[in-house]
Amino acid sequence: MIKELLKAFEDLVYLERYPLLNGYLQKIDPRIKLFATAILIIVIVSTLKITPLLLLLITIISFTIVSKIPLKNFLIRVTIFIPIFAGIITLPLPFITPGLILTSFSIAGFSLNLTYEGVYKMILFTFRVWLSIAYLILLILTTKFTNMLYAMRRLKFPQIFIMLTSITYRFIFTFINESYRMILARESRITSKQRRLDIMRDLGNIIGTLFIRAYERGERVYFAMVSRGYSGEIKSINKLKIHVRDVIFLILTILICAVTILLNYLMVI
Amino acid sequence: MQKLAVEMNNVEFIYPDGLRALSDVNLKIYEGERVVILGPNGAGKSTLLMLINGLLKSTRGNVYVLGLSVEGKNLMEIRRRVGFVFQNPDDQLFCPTLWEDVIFGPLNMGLSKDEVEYRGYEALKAVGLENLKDRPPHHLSLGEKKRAAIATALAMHPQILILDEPTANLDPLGYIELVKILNQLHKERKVTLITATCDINIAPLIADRVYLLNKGKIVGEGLLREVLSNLKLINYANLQPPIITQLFANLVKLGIIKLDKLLPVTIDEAINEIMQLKKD
Ligand SMILES: Nc1ncnc2c1ncn2[C@@H]1O[C@H](COP(=O)(O)OP(=O)(O)OP(=O)(O)O)[C@@H](O)[C@H]1O
Ligand SMILES: [Mg+2]
Repeated sequence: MIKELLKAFEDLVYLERYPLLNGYLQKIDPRIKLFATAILIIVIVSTLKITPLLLLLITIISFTIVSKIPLKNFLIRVTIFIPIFAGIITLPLPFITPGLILTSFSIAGFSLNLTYEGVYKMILFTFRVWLSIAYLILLILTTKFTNMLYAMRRLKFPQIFIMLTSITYRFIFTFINESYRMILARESRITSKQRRLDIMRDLGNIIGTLFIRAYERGERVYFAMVSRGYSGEIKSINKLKIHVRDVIFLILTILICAVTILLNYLMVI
Repeated sequence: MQKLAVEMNNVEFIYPDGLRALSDVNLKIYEGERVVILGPNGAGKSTLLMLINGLLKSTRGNVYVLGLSVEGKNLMEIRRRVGFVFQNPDDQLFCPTLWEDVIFGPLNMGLSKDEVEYRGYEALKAVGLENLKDRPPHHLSLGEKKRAAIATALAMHPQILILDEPTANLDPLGYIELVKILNQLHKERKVTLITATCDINIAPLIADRVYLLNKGKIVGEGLLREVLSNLKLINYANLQPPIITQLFANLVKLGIIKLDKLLPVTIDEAINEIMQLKKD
């Protein structure tokens, strides 16, 4: 079970195939992409009606297609995140929002009114979360990690944040593999059915060991950095240039945002 | 007169948890030498190497590198001149791509952009990895990672190159390749090579002189053939002599051949001895 989970996680983060494809978004400058994604998300979370969001849905579907990302896969991947975050939070909304009553029923003496406004709010909220995540994932899928770091650097993200992100990215795979190997090693020595308590104990041991190893690795990595003259500041050279297509992309994004905001005012729902 | 690359006088190192990893270590390594620190697991090899570029600080005794005492004010200068290749390449390669790892050192040295790029390419070329520069390190094979780790140190143009177990876990081809790269560096750039290993068979390929380390103490020192053919000493250091040496020792013991010289420690030396015996 744990094995499958780890493998799935690894698949999920092994997103390094798509950034190398020769699609539309892959060619856009990472700084522009990061910036555009940020404003898109701001627009999404401040939109209060569903119609304007539909425009952004059509937009992201088009972007996905021209970036040569398998659409069905992409939609599924984004949707996996939704039940966890949005679903649970919004579950009470249809019942506690006052408004036009669709149906009402009573549980254990409480009477609950399912309202039209409530359902609308729930759909709206979930849709907004869904779209925000979709735009984020699309950004990640179409941007090489180093370029993302570069963009963060140029957009003046804090040094330490960038460095931590970079090291996290580098070692997450190593740790996944390490825990995977430890779990395999454990399973290869198990010859009878295990009680739940035993499984929990072993898991605890594995996690503990992982932490100690992580700590020691951290120390060694720091040594490796220091040996090469690291003194608290990450330096870089980079040669990315803004092209016409980047500016076009940015203008396009801003246009879409503007239309969305406009629709948000004009539309009833 | 030869200049000293590394000098240790009565050095002792105790880890914070109280474990005495090194005691009374004395050694002198000259510029341009190829030296190997040979010892079993846990002998203190890695600890000794880390004292050289000041990653650890000796609890007693002095360490000098290229005439500079290894301490606070000299550390930056020393690290600039000493390249360090760690035992585990996964510790050495911490950037998202190989290229960034290779230029990490040169960037920290404050070199110009052109110089940084030049050194990056040069280092990757020296280890034959120029085609993999944009790959993330976690996608490289172990042999590639080891070579990559060496490239990250080479890019800084070190005068002294320190390698901790460079051949551990390598396949025979990777092994030969690595030996070739190291010797080329020694020949072309006059780099002082200091290697720690528990693999006695590689010692003759990458060194002229050897220090035997056991339980934190230097138990033997000298030219390669002198030390490695000394079976008593090798056993005392908890090591096994090279296969070829064991073979000759047994042949002598069984009276099959007579040898009034040192036992051979490499195949070439063995061939020479056999030729000599045939002639007589
Ligand atoms: N961080 C540490 N804290 C405490 N003791 C340590 C630490 N690192 C190493 N030691 C101990 O110091 C001794 C020497 O370790 P060192 O790593 O230098 O040996 P080594 O010769 O490099 O061994 P190997 O061939 O396994 O790499 C060992 O007994 C080890 O357990
Ligand atoms: Mg070691």
